[in-house]
Amino acid sequence: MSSQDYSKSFPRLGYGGAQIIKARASYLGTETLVWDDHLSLLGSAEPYFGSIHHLKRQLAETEIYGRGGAAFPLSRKIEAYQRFSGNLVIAANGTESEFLSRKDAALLTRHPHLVIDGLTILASSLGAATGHIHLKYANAAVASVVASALAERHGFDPVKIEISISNPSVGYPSGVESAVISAVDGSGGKPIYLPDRPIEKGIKRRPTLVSNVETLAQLALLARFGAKWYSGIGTDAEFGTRLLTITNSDGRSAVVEVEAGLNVFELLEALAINLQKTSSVLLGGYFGRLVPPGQVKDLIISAPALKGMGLGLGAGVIAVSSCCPITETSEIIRYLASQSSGQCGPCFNGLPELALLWDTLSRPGNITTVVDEVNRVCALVMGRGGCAMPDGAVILSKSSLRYFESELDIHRQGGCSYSGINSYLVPTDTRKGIR
Amino acid sequence: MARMPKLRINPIACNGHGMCAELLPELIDLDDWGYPIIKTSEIPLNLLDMAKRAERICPTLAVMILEN
Repeated sequence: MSSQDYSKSFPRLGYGGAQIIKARASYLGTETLVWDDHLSLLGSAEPYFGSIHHLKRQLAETEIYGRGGAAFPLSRKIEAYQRFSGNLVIAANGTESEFLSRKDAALLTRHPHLVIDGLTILASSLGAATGHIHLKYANAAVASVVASALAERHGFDPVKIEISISNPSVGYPSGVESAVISAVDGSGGKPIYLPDRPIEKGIKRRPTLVSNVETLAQLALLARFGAKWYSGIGTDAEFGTRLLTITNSDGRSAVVEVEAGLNVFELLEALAINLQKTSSVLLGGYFGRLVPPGQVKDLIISAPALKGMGLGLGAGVIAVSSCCPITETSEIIRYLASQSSGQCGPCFNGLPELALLWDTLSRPGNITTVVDEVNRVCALVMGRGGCAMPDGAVILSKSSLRYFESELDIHRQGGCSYSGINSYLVPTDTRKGIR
Repeated sequence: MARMPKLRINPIACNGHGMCAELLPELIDLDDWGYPIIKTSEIPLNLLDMAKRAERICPTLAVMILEN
């Protein structure tokens, strides 16, 4: 297949994978596209190295929203870091610390060269001399694929690129921007205090731009084929495609590339996920919200559209549960509490308290004062951590109180609508045992 | 008119000694666990000396004054 054909087709990142919905959703291919495959499929990225004006022109026509979780517009990030030029360091974040996310590992396994292209295009365009690819400690196979890819293209990139690995003892916060900087610097890999953006004193005390690996792969496609091509897929709400990790209520998951603007209900239906037996859908991961299945028909795959509804895709996680949504919230808050780096008082004190309160809510009984207490502790925790993890617990708590008020009423009256169904939303070793 | 300097706490450095809240009860409360909550981040002129004292005296150097 020539790059000419590729440029007309959907899937993009999912090239070579089986289609789920024709021209709208596809699985990813699984075999690594090595250097020769990559070059014959896409051609060399060299013409786009050092081309900041080209990059900005394309991004002015079609925005890429960051795929690590915050959905920050890439054009604004580039704008913020442009003034640092030669002193700048770029880190590609492939930590993927979100437990239910698999898309970054799947992307790096399939398209290591596209991610490296994106990193090199961005670094050379901004005048950065060094690039880092930061990976999850637990996935040695991915690190090996990336290392082989770098060896294959030795001497090709005008930027020095190094691989680094996250600290296994840090857990969930290891994917935070500042934790990546700390890890690359050999300073432990916990979040550090870097409240201001752009980050002026990051890796080696130099200005540091951190970007998710999928964002970089998307950037590499945009630079190659241009904004007109890129926006040939999607809707006015958002153009292009994105990777999602979809997890069914039996715990099985799949990484898919979907067209922006696709309806979530339509996607889940095409994946044969039965919403009849679903109690809640986790949208965006532990940093997102559990939404009632009845709302799924209103959801479309688009960062700005979901933001308008107070929702988000986070790191691209959609997970379906058939368990009690109050219990699920409780389990996720308990997990987040277990993941605190123990650095900030409001987090390492507040999250266990919040977890205990949710545990009480998950058990049938008189819970009115407990709900008030959840709101009070949420107010104490919000915005007071060095990273945003505690905020995630607050956001989930608040939304679950709102969305599942009727289930809370049932608990208040001594019942529960969902007894005896397994949860797959949190790692088993932090689960307290499902009733 | 010059903007007022701002009070900021580094939550990672802070160990909840609570000295800042003793010196600046007008600007800082303590939470359930003894960690500072900034009520108002703008430091009025009459409290600036006390804020600078809090910045110097904090055992973990978690109090910061951002001058604009």
